[in-house]
Amino acid sequence: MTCAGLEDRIFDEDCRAALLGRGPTPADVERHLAGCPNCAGRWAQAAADGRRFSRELLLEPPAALRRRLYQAFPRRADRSAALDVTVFSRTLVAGALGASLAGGFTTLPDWAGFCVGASLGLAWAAMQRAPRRWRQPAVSAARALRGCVQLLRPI
Amino acid sequence: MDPWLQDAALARRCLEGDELAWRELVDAHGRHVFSLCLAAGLRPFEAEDVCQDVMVSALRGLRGYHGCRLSTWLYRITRRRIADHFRSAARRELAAGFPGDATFPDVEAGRPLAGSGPEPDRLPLGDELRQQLARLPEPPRSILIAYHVGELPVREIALELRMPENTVKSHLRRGRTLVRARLQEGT
Repeated sequence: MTCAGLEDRIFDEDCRAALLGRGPTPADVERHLAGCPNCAGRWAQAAADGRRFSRELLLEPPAALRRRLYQAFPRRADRSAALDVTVFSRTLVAGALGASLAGGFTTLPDWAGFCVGASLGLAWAAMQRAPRRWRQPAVSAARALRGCVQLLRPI
Repeated sequence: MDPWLQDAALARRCLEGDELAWRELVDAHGRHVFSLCLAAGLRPFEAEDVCQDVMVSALRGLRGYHGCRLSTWLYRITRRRIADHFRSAARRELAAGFPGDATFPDVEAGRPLAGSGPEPDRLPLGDELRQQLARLPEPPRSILIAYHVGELPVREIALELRMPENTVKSHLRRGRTLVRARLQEGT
């Protein structure tokens, strides 16, 4: 490594960690510093600057602010309450839709249409909230179905 | 573990509802966001408001985070929010009427009263450093703040400011030398 190389290297992340005392000095830098007193002085100056900037400019947020930030995370209870409302409303809407379709277009009684619609609505709401990896098979199936429809459309 | 992967894992855990991950994120990045607000010249109570705003926006928009370090992403949000804050503050303090009217804003608000105590001869060291940073020309000022306060890697500062990495490094060198010299002049 040359002296000019060290000047550039000094701003790299591993060097920053070393300068701030958060990590070891990289081996290539250490080798160069051992044989170059000028660069050793420059390195010490950079360490002093870096520590001074961190010490004086990086301030911890007040405890009250930190508490407010922690509390910004939605609680599980809030999320499950929101889930309940969503599931309930989607189930009702899908049930009503099922009932009206059953009454209008089939010989099924309204209550059966409501049950079928409500079950589909419930499944849909649950799928929306499920973790991505659980949703993946359903999403893939929907994508495949859409592809088939597009292929069949010209026919 | 690669810091980029660590950031992605932390964001994913937050999205999956892990409250501890959110606390980790606040602990790791809250002070950078708060300090960036102070370095931009906001008063402490304003910095608190903007910091809270940034972190809540980050939490809401975490699904949109990808392709950079969390520190860079938060730095971007913070810069936007600080600009919004200054714009809205300028709107709030828009002069209405003439000096002396009841509707004219109090321009001395926020400054210590003349008779409230002896003025210190010298500012505390952190404030002095912040003042010297504020006096730097652009872009060294933004680059120094991003590197030392936001703790952004040089590569990401270069991408943010659309300039070569070597230019960022030379601005950092020059900026640091200038601040050091001015601080020594003051002592």
